[in-house]
Amino acid sequence: MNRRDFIKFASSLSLAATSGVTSSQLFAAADNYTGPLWIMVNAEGGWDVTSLCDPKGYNGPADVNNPARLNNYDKAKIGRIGNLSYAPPPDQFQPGGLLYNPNLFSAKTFFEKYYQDILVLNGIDSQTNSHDNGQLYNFAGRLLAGYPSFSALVSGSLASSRPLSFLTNGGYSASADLITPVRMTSSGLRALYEIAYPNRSSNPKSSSSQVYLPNDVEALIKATSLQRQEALLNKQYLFRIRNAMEKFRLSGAETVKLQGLAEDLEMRSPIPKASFNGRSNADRLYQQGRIALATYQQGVTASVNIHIGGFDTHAKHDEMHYPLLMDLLQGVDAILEEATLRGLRDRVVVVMASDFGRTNHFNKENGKDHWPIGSALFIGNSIQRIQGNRVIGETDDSHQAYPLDPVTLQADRTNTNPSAIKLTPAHFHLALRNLAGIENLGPATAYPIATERLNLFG
Amino acid sequence: MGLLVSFQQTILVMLLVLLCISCSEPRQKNSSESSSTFVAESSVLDNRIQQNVNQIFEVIPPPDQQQTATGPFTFVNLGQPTVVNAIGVTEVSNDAPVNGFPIGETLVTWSVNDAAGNTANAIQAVIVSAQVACSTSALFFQQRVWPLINNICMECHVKDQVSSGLNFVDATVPDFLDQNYIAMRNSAVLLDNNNESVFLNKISNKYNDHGGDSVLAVSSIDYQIFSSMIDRFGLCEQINISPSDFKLLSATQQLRKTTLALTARLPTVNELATVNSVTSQPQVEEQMVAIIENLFAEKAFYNRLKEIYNDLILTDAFKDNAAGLGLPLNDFDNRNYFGTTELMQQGYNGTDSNLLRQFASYGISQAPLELVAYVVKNNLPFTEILTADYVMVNPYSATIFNAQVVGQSNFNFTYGANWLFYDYEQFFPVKLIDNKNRSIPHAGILTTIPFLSRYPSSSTSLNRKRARYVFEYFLDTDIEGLASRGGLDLSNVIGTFPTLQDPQCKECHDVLDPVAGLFKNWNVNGRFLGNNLNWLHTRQPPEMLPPGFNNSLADALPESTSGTALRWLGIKISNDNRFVSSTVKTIFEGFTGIDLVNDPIYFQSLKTLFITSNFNLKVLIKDIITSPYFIADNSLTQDLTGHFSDVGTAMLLTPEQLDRKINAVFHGAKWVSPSKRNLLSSDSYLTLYGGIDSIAITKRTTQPTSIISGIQSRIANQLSCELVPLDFKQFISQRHLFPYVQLTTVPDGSINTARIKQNIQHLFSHILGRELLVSDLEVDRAYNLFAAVMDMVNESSIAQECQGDLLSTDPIVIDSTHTVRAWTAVVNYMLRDFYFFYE
Repeated sequence: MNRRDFIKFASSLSLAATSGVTSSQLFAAADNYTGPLWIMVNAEGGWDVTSLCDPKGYNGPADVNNPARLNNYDKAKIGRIGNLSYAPPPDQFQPGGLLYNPNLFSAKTFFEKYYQDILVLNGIDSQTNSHDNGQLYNFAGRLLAGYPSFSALVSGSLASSRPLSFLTNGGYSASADLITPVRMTSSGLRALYEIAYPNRSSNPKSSSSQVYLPNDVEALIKATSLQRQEALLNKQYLFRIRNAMEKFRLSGAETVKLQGLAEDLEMRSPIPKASFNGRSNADRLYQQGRIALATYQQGVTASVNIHIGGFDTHAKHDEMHYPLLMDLLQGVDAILEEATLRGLRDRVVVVMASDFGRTNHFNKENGKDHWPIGSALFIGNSIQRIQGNRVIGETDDSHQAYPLDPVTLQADRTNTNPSAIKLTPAHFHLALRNLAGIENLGPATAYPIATERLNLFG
Repeated sequence: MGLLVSFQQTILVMLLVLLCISCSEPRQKNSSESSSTFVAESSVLDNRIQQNVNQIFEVIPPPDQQQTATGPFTFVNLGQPTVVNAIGVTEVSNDAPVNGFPIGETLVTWSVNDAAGNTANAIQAVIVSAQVACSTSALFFQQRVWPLINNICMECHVKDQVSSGLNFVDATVPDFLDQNYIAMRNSAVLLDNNNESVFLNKISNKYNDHGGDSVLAVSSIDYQIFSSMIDRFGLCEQINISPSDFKLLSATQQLRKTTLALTARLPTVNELATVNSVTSQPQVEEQMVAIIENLFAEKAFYNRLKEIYNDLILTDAFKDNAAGLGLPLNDFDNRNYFGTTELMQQGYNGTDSNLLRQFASYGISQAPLELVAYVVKNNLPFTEILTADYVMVNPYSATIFNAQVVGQSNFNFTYGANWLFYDYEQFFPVKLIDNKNRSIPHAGILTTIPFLSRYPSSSTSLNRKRARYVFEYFLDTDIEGLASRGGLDLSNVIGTFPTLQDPQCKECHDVLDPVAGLFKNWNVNGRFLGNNLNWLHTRQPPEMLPPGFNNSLADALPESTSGTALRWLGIKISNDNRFVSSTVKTIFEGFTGIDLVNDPIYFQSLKTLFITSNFNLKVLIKDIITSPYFIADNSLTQDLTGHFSDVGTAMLLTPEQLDRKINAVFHGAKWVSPSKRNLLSSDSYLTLYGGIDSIAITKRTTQPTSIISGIQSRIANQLSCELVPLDFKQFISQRHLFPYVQLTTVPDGSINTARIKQNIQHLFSHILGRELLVSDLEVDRAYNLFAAVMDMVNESSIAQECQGDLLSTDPIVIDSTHTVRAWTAVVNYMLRDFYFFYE
């Protein structure tokens, strides 16, 4: 009996137990994913790291109006916890300042809470002032068009069969066709029940809702539809149409998992909106993370791009930028709190990055322009270990990056070490690939990163 | 005795057999060998054991794959195996080679483990044939090779700098991809005395004779990519695609696809009769061209055209939120004409005021896209979208601008007048004069408020963002792809104005900055400044290159045109071959979903056609819509080779297109969810189904996702439920879905069965556009579904949600014969079909 005869034979026996494995595999990789949720936080626009994790400040009251100053806060007010430093609010945002806002989150709160887990990389040279290239380099690891984002790479390598394997809320989400990025925004939640329960008519949220079709009829329709899709695929010889048919067929697998997601989000109350003190950006960021945690817990997601834009502050820098930075921290804090509530705190890896940094001075509109030197923050867990309470990489007082010794990772402040190298996004992406265990898998080898291997994560 | 063995012993035997064949290395397939050893073994067991097949864990491999080589190793999409009777699959793996399949046949062994510790294997054959179409090689060159050349080689191999003669051109050169492809191909044929590739030996510096610094390790992927390209040149053959290579859509199918694509409707009876009155393909094409010409007169065509161009320029960001367009209006005294206070003082209430303001906002925000529509509708050269010395307004925005429409008296909005008479979707070309009595120097899209606001500037960006998008949208140039990014030392830039002085900056800025300067007469928010004579090149020292095009003295902005710099730019662009390339690509991709770069022959022919037609977009669209790309339905040969990889469309309909298709196919129907949302709801389904908002989400999702699949299921369930009873409510002569059956037409093995199948055939044609014979297996499959559902029904009436306003006593509701529910299932089944959601 050949294979096709068997299929007919099996059909005649009405095998209801047929199950389809849902992996369309371009590379030979099994999908038994047990890894963490990779959370890539994209502060799009170019964040000012001297207002966050690589503080500079001005040198005392006499320096407050120095046109060459990097920041509008006194160096003496820079906060320190463990081995980490963080910037204080700009003067206008300090208590008594014109823009003081008690509802704003603070870097102090964030760093004091998480410093033991945070690895800071300073002095990362993005080698560009272009937003697109900065996004590409910092979220894909190489300045070459077409490279997939790390989120797409890890999902495509390890969890390609998951229906929502790679969630995106914006930012660099190129996938090089390794995986299909899925948009699932918080506003989309309003329709989630309708999508998760397509047969419920009157009240999709209720299990006692009327239905359009009896369940057995719906199941028969679906099974017949799958048979037809298979038949169409077997008769189609044009690659583009065939490829589309294949993807169409696969997209329907495991939509039932949306039900678990809908129930989860309905049953679990979110962190109350009120706790964000009116900071809607922070709430939106949290909602992105909440959805991703829920989908991860349902076993349908492996990575997510969290996105917050608006950092490209060429004018009114402090006024526009600082609150956004605090919203970012507040949002990430809320996501980590949610992970803790769900028992997933040890199942997430968080990476926070941006296109690049901002200039080491203010322009005539009190803005800051593009600056290739930036930073990135990493938070791991007990399995994907990233040793926290460390800072690797350093910049001088004018925010120029010192080269690093590739072995000791110490900054070469005197520029006398011939083997010192510039820290770039390629380095941390190579380390991320290694941490995720995908470095030698097909997708990563097809999109290689050739750079020094640094022991960044400890 | 004999084969009276226990179930467990049966399993043990089968496991043992499996172990013997679970080899890790691919091997030659024995044609008599089945794909599953279980099956082979079960065939020799007696009947009692055969019955145990039901309970035996099996895996069926995906179909064998056949593909054209892309190089020495080819990645192949293997598909997926089907697992039967697994008790929880724990692992699925295969032994496919990680780096791609070699030319020839490879057998891939699939292994599946279940939670009970069982393993099942199956074998799939993969055949990679040693032929490759040059069209696919061109795509490979563009996507994989060119980025490497640009990043690594272009530092030296440009502008006759290298004595070997292998020089590439940068991306500012028209057809740079074609030229560089040819340059590399010419080099690829060179062999040294050892019969080795000169090119590859150079890039790996095998004989230490490569003058440059950049060399590649032979083991590196980048080297492999170049090597693969060299191999492709050796293998590829020039293919001219012709319609005779394919199975084309029938005349009816082609007409349907065309009317849906251009005007979102089904063909009329007359149109169908016209195309079916002829027999040969050339005759069909002739009739189609005439029909298409008529389609160009329909409003829906221009709606689609505007959608395609908004996908490019994204000015619909302001469609529902024109508040962001307010600042440039300060130069027009009527800017508050539709302000709430002003209107209510006249007597308008709040609702009316809102409506008028919306209409006015619409008029302003749609100006760029309405210009596209206007130019095409009036058969003007398409270049006019960048050179038009007018702007498009509707009656409301005309009032704000105090603009006089030629041949039209002033629009009267005085309270009490019939102000609702004015169609907010009717647009006119006008020339604006601001409150300083300045004639605005319009330059098509470039000077519209939405375009300038969508791409604002700043005191540090200096119009470079605007220039960058002009290059991208209208000059087919990615500015950021002009120079290598690697190795930039931005912490040690040269000069006070590095964009003028530092070589690593100049590469891009020499191209970008002159065009940026052409926006000098418009401020950061899009407000007209007059003739700005103080651009940065006039400072001492100059801070930026002077305004111009192509950074050559010959292309510097003439002083006499300083005040109309952007119109001068528009004219320059319209004379540039890259405008032709970008337009052809935009339109081709808009109507087919295909990136045309991989068919340089057809691409060139389209460009030539566009130019010789004096940039008539309709001529371009006609050719595309009648090309094999659009009308190919399948390949005539049953071997899947790279030759045919690029024709045939398979566009996942956008939410807007799907919404219109539902309306067209179901005669005015619209899908609305229980929460009263639809496919155009911007708070949910629009983006969940892959659409854009032109603000934060600017790229459409072109691949289906689980979310999209869930929405499709809901649409299928809802529409079939609502529309089937509705159709049966009509007299049979007026039905669209069920013209051949009645409620009482139940299967009888004879006439009724034939009618049911005939109606199924009709549904395939009407809903899916597929023409099947009544004897087709797919008709049988649908018929079997119909018959099965008839038997499965046990409720006394159709679902409440499907009853609409029918009385509970209506025979349709009672559905005593179960045919309504059976037909609902069939329509539901068709609404889950590939051919419904794709075109």
